[in-house]
Amino acid sequence: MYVVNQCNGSERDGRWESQLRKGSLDLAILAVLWKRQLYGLEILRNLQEAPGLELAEGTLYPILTRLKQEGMLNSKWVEAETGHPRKYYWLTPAGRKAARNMADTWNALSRSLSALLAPVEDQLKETS
Amino acid sequence: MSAALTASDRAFEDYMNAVWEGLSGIKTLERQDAFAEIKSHLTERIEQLHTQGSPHPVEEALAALGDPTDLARQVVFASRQHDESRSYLPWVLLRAAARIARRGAKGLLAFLIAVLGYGAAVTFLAAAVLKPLVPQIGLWVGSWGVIWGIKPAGGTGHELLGEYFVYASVALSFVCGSVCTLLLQRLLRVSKPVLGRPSS
Repeated sequence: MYVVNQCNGSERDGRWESQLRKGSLDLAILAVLWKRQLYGLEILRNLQEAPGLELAEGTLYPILTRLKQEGMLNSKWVEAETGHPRKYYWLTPAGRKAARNMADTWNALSRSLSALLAPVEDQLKETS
Repeated sequence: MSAALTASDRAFEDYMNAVWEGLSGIKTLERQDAFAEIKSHLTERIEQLHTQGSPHPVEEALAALGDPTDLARQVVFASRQHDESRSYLPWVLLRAAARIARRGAKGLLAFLIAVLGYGAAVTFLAAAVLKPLVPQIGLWVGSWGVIWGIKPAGGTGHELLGEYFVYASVALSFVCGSVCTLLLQRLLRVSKPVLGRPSS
């Protein structure tokens, strides 16, 4: 029974983490594109540099398609030096506004959670 | 070496063919664009893996991108969802609601709203159209309760709206259709595709 409960807890933790990561992917992609225009593989590379934000390659293109359809991103094909074309993405004014709003929400949520989690973290420090 | 290259080329070709087939649900220009982007991604990834010394760069790149049909399906979903969520055509919204009904509670709710909302709109409109042909249709109040439709046999009661029944039916049809459309558009906008993991 104990083992079963432990598995369910671990599955739940995994699901929660997965949902959290999925929910933050839009913001992560908008943030990566904040400074400059990038193409798909560059976006993936930038995300891979941030621990916990690694993205399955096949997951990126549907998200980019959706964000472009929603007017957050724009794109154009550029002929690369290597010979084959690359599709570059950049933020539209609506995308910049959405990124700012999402960042505000994220920061507010993060501050509230940090305050709530302070006793948990204190106990973790004591036990370690 | 040559045989291995041929097998890799075939795997690449099969993958791209499956992507092209899977992208059939969107407009031609968008389809060509998505196809070219995935091909460009794969070409560059294969070059990278080859440079890094991978023994099977093509297979590794294909595996990292995941199942081609699944990938194409997700791109199609992302592309169509936007158009559908802004459509005012009931059949477009109904089709979209039917597709997302299997994805969870929100999808099922959207489908139920679509069926009930548009069903009610059609019923009210049919009542308005049929009223001149079938005078027994009306808003009846009597011993059987309140009925919007044909007067039941037996019992006593009277019709409330008279000549205004047609206008009231058309108005109710419009309200049901409009509310249903707006609710569906909203539900479709918040409904996201289920993103798969790579098959590797």
